Amino acid sequence: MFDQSVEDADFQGGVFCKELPNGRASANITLDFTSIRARTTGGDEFVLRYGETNLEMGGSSGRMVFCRNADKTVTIFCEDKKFPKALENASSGELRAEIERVIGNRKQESRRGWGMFWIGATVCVLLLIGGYFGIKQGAKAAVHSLPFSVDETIGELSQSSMQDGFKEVDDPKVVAAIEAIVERLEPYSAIPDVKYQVRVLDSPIMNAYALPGGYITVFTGLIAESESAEEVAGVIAHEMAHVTKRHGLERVTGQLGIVVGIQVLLGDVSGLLALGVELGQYATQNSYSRLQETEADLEGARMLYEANIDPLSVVTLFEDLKAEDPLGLPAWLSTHPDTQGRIDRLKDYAKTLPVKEYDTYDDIDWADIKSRLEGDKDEDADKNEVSKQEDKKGEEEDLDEVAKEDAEDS
Amino acid sequence: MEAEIADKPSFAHIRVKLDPGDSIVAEADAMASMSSDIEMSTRWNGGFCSAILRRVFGGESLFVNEFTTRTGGSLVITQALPGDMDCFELDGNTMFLQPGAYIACEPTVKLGLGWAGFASLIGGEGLFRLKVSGTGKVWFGAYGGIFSRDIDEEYVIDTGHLVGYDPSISLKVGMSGGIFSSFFSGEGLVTRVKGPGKVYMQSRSIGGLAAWTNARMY
Repeated sequence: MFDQSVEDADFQGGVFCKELPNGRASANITLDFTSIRARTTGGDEFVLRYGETNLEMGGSSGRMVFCRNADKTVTIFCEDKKFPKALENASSGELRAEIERVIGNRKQESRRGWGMFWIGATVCVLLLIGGYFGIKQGAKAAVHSLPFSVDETIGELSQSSMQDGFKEVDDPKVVAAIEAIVERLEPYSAIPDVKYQVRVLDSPIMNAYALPGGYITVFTGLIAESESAEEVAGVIAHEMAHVTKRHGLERVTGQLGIVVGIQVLLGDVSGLLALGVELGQYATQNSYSRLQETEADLEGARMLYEANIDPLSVVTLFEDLKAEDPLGLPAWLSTHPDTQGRIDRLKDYAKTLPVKEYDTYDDIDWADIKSRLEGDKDEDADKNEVSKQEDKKGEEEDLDEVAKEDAEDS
Repeated sequence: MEAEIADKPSFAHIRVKLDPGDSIVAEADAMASMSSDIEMSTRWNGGFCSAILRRVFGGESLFVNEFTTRTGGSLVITQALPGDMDCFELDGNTMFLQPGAYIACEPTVKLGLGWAGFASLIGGEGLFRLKVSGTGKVWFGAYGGIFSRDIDEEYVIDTGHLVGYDPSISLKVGMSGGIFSSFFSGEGLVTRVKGPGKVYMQSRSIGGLAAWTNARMY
């Protein structure tokens, strides 16, 4: 028998026709010189002549080829990748234009689909990024509209729960001197009525820091290394500026998770308080951003200038120290990066201010304050020596007692 | 083997009567009762890797159970959802089932996992679909009633109502109407299917039930 099939391969596919049970059946498809033949598993045969065949491409994969007669009563379909080429060959090019059309449509649709996918994906990513930063920035802006009592609560809770291990200096003259420096600057702070709380901690660290709400800590190392009250005033003014510019709260919002960010935007500050207290406890290790440092420098200089104190007094402290030990930077500087740049900016700022005669803290005997701190140390050392000697004496007496008891027993 | 779907449509289950030597494969935990002389063996749902893929992406269980008998017996197979069950017979063709729809099949049926595409994912129908091929009967279930439709041109199905379809059906995600009506009609995104081919749908959607329940929880 003469086999009319022009393609070696049979193709697996199916037929849709209302005359079939369930309207469709799997079929074996062959291609001959004139037509597409489909023999179903039930033994029915369907024939579509090339000349009367319309092609469509689709299905779940998008690659299924549907061959249909004009009235669409019979549809032979096949998903085999080789089927379109075989169909083109078998029909001697009769279906070439039709095949090119459906493949072109399919490619166009695929491109459109991918285009829509990438547009959708990009929009989603942009919305996510925009939403994230929008909430963060919004929360940062919302922080400045919060009452200052939030700062005070964070500062108070942080200070009370801090475990820094340093002894607080209780010499009334030393504390009074630092308080006097603060009091002189207080009227010029950007936020009025801030209740500044000052404490002096006994530590050789040359540092000072401020917690939100006005809790200022000065280490004795800073006092010891300074030449005048004005130099310390420069550092304290900088720290006060951090308080009034609410940098602590800003820094907290920088670390906020998205949920707390949304909470802040909605006016719920409980999450902000918890995070603020946690961060506040590590205040000495945390540094502010460069922008915040510059802002605090300039605001501190403004306060000093208004209070009639030389705004460059802090610069002399830096320069003296750098000259003494160019590599070993003090702690206050090491947590405040780009020192030279900041000194230059401060000097530039000072040049813009109208020239005037500056005052000094005449009421503070700085040399006396420094000597008192040294005196405290000597006193402590003496106390330690005395207690050591007493302990030694006590031990010797105990040994004598034991020796006496032993002698009595024998 | 004889199988009959009983208590249609709300609490449908399959009553299977196995002749000696017959066997049936069912989704894990689908067996409700069986004769004591039916043996059950558990195997990976089509190999270790594909079982994991089917579990993660196809909503199917890691294992399937094969029930065989040497003496004959009966068993009842059911599904977790209240709803109808239906059966189709494969004669070498392929069908796609939505995740979770598959319940049981004859051992000659091959189970596989097919990539459904992003359109299916966005349309709420999942990134993958269960592919059943070979020869033999396949039983599947749905939440609510099952109805089928032979479609030729485009047809619109709401999210979560598609259960199974021929590979000749193409899926596209689309809006139910204009932007306003799509968002405020409650229809949102829909799946636009195009034939020729058959689609099986369910009259209820689990997502719809979950949304209805959530709305009344607070």
